[in-house]
Amino acid sequence: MLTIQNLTKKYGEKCAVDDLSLEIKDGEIYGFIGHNGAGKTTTLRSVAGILAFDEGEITINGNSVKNAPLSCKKDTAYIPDNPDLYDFMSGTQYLNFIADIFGVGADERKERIAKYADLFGLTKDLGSYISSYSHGMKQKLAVIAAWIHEPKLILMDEPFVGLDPKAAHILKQLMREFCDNGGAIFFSTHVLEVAEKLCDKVAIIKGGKLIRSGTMEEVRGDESLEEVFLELVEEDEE
Amino acid sequence: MILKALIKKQLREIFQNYFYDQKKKKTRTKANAVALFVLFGFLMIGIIGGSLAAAAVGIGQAMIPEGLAWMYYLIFSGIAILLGAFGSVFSTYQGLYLSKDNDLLLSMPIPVRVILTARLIGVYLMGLMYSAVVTLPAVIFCWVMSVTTGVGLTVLSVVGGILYVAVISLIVFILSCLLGFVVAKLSQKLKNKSFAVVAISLLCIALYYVVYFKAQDWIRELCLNAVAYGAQVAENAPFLVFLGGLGAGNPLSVVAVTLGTVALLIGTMYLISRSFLSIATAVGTTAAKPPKPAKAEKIRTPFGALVKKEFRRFSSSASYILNCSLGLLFLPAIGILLLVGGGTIREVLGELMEGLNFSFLLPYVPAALLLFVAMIDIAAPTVSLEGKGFWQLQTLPIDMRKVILAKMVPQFVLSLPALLFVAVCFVIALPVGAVGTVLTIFAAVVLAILNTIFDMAAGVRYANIYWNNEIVPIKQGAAVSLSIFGIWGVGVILAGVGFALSLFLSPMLVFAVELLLCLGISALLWRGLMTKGATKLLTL
Repeated sequence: MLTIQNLTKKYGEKCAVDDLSLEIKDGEIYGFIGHNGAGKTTTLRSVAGILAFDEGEITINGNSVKNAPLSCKKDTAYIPDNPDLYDFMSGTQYLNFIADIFGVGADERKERIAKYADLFGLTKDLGSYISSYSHGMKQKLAVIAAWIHEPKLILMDEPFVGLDPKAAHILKQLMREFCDNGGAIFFSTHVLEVAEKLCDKVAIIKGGKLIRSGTMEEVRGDESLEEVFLELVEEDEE
Repeated sequence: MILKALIKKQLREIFQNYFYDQKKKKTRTKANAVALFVLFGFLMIGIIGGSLAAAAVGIGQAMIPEGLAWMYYLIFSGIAILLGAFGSVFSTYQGLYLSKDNDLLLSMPIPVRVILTARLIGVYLMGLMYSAVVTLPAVIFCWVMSVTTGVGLTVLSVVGGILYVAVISLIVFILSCLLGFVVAKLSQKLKNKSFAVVAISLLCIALYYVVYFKAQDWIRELCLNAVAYGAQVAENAPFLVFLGGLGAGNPLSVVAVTLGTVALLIGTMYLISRSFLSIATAVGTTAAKPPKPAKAEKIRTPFGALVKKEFRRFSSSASYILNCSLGLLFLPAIGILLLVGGGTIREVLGELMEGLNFSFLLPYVPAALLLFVAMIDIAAPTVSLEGKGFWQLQTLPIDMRKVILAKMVPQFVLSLPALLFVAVCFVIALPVGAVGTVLTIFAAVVLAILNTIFDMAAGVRYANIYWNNEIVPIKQGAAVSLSIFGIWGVGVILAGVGFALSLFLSPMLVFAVELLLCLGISALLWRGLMTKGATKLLTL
């Protein structure tokens, strides 16, 4: 579904992502962990087509992000770490805007909006302007917007930040369900317990370089993901 | 210390573009920043201050030798207050209450009064900038004339003059705060805030322009009969003589007006400080109103959805409407003026030339229309207004060229009817023959296209998505400045070209050449937008 080959992104002299390669297959939930400034968001933004990268290649469903960005975006949904949504729209207007762009039919969008808004307890607030939403409500709306057009790949940057425990639980269920139906998810998180329980595969990034990746079992062995992460980060520092 | 930091932050926000190059994403060199400040100073002091200084000489010569310095100061007080307070009602409302860093600042261990003080100082400095452009030349020329005309310069008149500058700046500040407060209160209570705020602000702006245009006649009349009017005012409204006496150095006026202003200031600050927190935090809360039931939405094509989004963005913000579509009011007003005053214009021009065909005016039509249509610049800040939410458009499967096109639609759709109306009024008021009529109507379409594409190009070229208060991209951005001054510049060039070509070609042909030139400029800018512009937006 998603292939990243030798991705390199520099900000001036600083190399934010250095020769990173990984592959995410259909049906996989792929966790991306690393300390602040490790290069997670830069990688996700490059995959989402927001950030031009210096070297390497990213393909989504066989399409190159560089050469066929629109085809890639049609298959993708992106949820950033801080969802700055259109404040001047109501929740309903926003979801319909997204559905219009992706060409979601009237019946499907109605059904999906009702389903997901109900799941996240957002139905009664959909008529209000987004400017009046809390961070968590915006996050829920961004999640619904991501699911409304049934993408093949979902990219999420710290998706659990701001969500209440119930909403976080629902999101985890949705993620699993989405991948069980053939979709793929690539998400960054600092919550290692969530990554450990939810992910099929995980990649650890430090200073822009991929320092370990693979299935959860391959990465953590007999230890917990937290122990492995801390060991790898410290080892690398030494 | 905190106050200093907040003021520094605020000033940096206002003058951000002077220190930081958004395009190159790096700090400007000192020389570059100084050059920009010099340019700004030239515009403020050289052009506005210069014209007011010229007015000061004219008014001063009529009044100061007659011992009517109080009247002279009274007139300049009115101009300063008009320029400083009524012209920026909405900016005060935005600056005081609607900053995006409200939550951040309120969450920090900063006393609310310090946040408010920093904002108020910002409002005061902006008001001072406008009032001082009027009061300083007024005081300086009064002093000079007092010496040169033999009236004499006393210590009291010097003190009065200095206090006059300070007191007028405070009166502008007080009025700005009170008007901002009223707008904030009304916008809290009214259902459709944007349009309500627009209506209130337009009233103030209308008052501003009515007084501005009438003032010239009033002042001319006052200057011609200064002594008679002075005596009448002294007899019927001695209070005004007393107020004007501040600048002239009347001891009692100096003390009373200064103390009165300070008392008003204290009262205003009390009112503002008591209500600041509740108004500033009322923006964006859900508690006040129950959620509205969601309305069914119409299904749209992707491009239709983008266009609808742009119209929603435009109508959602009073400051956007006010600052970027004033031309939509001016153009119909000009059209009506043409219809109403057409007879007089025909009479005057008829005396100069035989017959009633006014096609000799045609080469100057584009320049005249551009003068007013420049004040419709809805497309200019539209990219910057995406702000930190720009990721949404970047991640959607939409060609950026379509995004640019959608962003141009509101401006084109709104400006075209206004331009067509003026064009029709023009050909009714000043008949230009069948071909001239067709060309004039066509000119309206061409200029709507040119203005829209030019503004969009400026918006993409100087896109700045990093701001805390939307007034920054709407009012202070390089894109909006370029869009207005650039279109005026094009108008001046067209007028020059028109004049030069009229020496050799028929007016009709010159007019056609000018329209072709406009279409050529539009085509070039369009090409740039569809290639470099679209690429730039992808990774902005």
